[in-house]
Amino acid sequence: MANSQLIRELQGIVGKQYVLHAPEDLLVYEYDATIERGLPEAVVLPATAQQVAEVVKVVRRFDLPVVARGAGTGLSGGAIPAKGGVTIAMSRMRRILEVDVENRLAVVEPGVINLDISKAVASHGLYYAADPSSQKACTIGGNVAENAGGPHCLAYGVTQNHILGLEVVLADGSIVWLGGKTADRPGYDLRGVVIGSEGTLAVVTKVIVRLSPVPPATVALLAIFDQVDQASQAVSTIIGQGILPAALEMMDKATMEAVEAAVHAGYPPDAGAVLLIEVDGIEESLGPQAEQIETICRELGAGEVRVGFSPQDRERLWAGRKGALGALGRLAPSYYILDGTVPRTQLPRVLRGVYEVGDKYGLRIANVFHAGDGNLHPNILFDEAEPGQLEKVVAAGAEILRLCVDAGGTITGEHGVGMEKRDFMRWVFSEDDIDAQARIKIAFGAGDGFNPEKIFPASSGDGDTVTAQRSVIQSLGPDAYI
Amino acid sequence: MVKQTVLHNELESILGPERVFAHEEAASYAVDGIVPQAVALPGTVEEVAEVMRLAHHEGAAVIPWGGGTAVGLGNVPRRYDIALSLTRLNAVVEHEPADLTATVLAGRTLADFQVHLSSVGQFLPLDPPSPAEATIGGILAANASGPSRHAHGTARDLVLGLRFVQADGRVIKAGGKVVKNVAGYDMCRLLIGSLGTLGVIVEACFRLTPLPGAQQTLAVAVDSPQEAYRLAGRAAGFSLRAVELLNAAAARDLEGLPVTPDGGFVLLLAAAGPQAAVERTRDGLAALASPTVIEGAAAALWQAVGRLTQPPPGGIVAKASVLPSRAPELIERIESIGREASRPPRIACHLTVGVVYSAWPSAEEPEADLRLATSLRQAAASLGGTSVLEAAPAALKERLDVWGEPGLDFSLMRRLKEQFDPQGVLNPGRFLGGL
Repeated sequence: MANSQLIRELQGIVGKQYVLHAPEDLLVYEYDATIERGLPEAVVLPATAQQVAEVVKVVRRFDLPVVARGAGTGLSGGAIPAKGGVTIAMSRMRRILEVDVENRLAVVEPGVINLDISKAVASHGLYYAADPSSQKACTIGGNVAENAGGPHCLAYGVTQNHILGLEVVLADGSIVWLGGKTADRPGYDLRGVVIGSEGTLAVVTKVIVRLSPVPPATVALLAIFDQVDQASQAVSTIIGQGILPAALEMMDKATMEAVEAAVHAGYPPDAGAVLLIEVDGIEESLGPQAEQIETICRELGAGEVRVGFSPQDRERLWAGRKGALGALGRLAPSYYILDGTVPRTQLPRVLRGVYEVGDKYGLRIANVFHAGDGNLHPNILFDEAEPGQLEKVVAAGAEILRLCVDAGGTITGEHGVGMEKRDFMRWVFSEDDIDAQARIKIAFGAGDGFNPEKIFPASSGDGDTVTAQRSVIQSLGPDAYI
Repeated sequence: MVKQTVLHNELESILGPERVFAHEEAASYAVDGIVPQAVALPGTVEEVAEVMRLAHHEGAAVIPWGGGTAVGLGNVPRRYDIALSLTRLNAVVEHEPADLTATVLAGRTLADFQVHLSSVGQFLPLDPPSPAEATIGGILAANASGPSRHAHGTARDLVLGLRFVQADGRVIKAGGKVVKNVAGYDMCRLLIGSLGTLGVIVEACFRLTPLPGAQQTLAVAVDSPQEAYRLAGRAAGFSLRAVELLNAAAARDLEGLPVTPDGGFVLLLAAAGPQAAVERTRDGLAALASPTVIEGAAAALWQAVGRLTQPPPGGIVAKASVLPSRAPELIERIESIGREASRPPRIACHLTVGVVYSAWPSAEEPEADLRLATSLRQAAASLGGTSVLEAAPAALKERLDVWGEPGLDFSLMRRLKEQFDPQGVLNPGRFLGGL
């Protein structure tokens, strides 16, 4: 129930038409790409950092939490107002404020769509390198909050590596810059702390992104293997031989089956796994590297290796991978996406473990993931309508993430801890480690004022674990990406 | 001030008598002329933790110590009781070549770490000065870097995980050992560059890089920084590891470079990558300019480039940071400041990053140092940048903050310091704003 005094004050800051509080208007802000739900009391659409600051001050005075929201494409419930309060939607703050071609940077508002930055600077031979697969829809502010990854992290790094500075609003309503356009700024790297803090420390109001030169040339290879183990071995061998591909993606048999039905990529029906490998750099060096990769793949059992140099050929090789997640809907009504990371030498062992967990619970699992980074995305296929299935899926998901942790990995590679994995934080961090992180939150003065009930384990035992994990269970449909 | 004998005895009971040096033996651990009461040489992470618990309890000020190569960095310490040497923690904990990751204890020198990695054709692409002495922990605490940051970034781009000992002795893990990890806040980045004021880094896990198939160093004599900048811009598509601009005074300190007249400059370029890419880069540069190919001891040359940014005895080293497009103008202003002061600096600039080092010989009178520091700071500020004194006589440091004026984000930094080191025992006074 919206507080009428609060609404009036918010309207006074941004104007009446930019405060939503009627129940029917709030519904679309209730969810993100997970199925967790949380209804805000009001949604505010500010146009400037100053308005964001005023909104934060007012909402905090009412002792309500603030949740910033980009496009709502997140996969860990980051934009869900878990405890109600006010959602600040960034859909009006989507201007590219400055492009500095010479110094390869741009200043943008948080609501700018990731791919729109690359489009805006393409004519200068530049692009924004951190490319989550949802880049046609997701916003840069959301990318910063979650420290988003993508298929090209192997050579180019994640969001954290491409952000120079942030203008943020703190819990007291003050506006400060963290980091900036120039390198090596004195003091603690607060910019680095806020990136990936899932909206719990501050509201980002401007972002300085680093732009990268478009590589002079690119080659893509698609290698088809009989066995997943062979493909995993190829991943380690390619990197072990000193090649650092721009992307190194894997799909398993179940995924290929769905993709084949959806986009007719021409995968042989008996194939066990496919690797998609992209290398870029100076044109003269790509031919020899492509040959080297092809040799490695063939020696490890690849029956077929397709090579594409032209944009059209590469596009064709990527088509199956890009359509993979959407195609999974053909296999089952719902699927549960996991996001564990392991050292890449552990891939064969952990993948075997993933299938064993599937067998144990009688659930089919389709894997499509960033193999070069060791970043697994097992998708547990199921039918939510079938009684008891959901509980099995949740238990299987937990077992798989536990496998990742036991192999020296972690519970989330790029989607964020969010709501669903808070209680798994203790698998990777001690109480002292978590306490140290909590002290960062104290220093920022954020309390539970920004995006509450994210990242940190619930202090009151594990009562809500099962409900919390429901958050990523759904079928994402044809426009879904990882 | 903690009573010296008590502190010494307590440290001995933790570490044994041969692992604690008394004040009289601690002269080589002086910071800005201040000699600690004791030097502690723990051999394990747990011993580091015990030393910190003692310091926290006694309120003894601790300066973590690696190779001592960056000891000039920072303000004069407010207090200094214990030098905490980490050099005995020097093991490579884990190195899985096929994962391209390695975990190492903080006291290992960079050079020793590189030797270990090169045996399997890998390296850590960080090249701060003095790799034979500089330790992993010290490099991370100072966020030290070198010319390779053109291609590989800094430690903040290369560290996957850290362990550090908090002021109260708790051992904290940050990050992990996988290349993609968004579980929890990124405390690695907070600790890197914090100059030991938030915790004592004891272990780090890095992402590694395969050694390039081929390398070649080329030098181009240029008349002005602008000319060098334009050339670097046209070379942007080439396979380069480093793009370093040296003024004539710096170039003359190195062997094998083209003869450089006063007022001239040398652009030093390191091509690295697959053989075909290096050849293409060399040919491409030859089409743009007339580069001299440095035959033979290129590695020694790049080490010598690193030494250019080390302070002359009693001198000053300033590191300015501006947008790359402003670097040429800043270099000209620094040269002009040198001419006016009749005090010619060596200048080495990471041209594509906008970081400009200038190393200045000692002054005859202290006022000259203050005038110089002020001029350098004004020059950087007028171009939208910052200037940090990386080394300076203590007399100068007493009169200004070597880091410059804190900004609006400083209150957040102070609150972080209070959260992580409430007693103020870690490196008190040396960081920005006297943190």
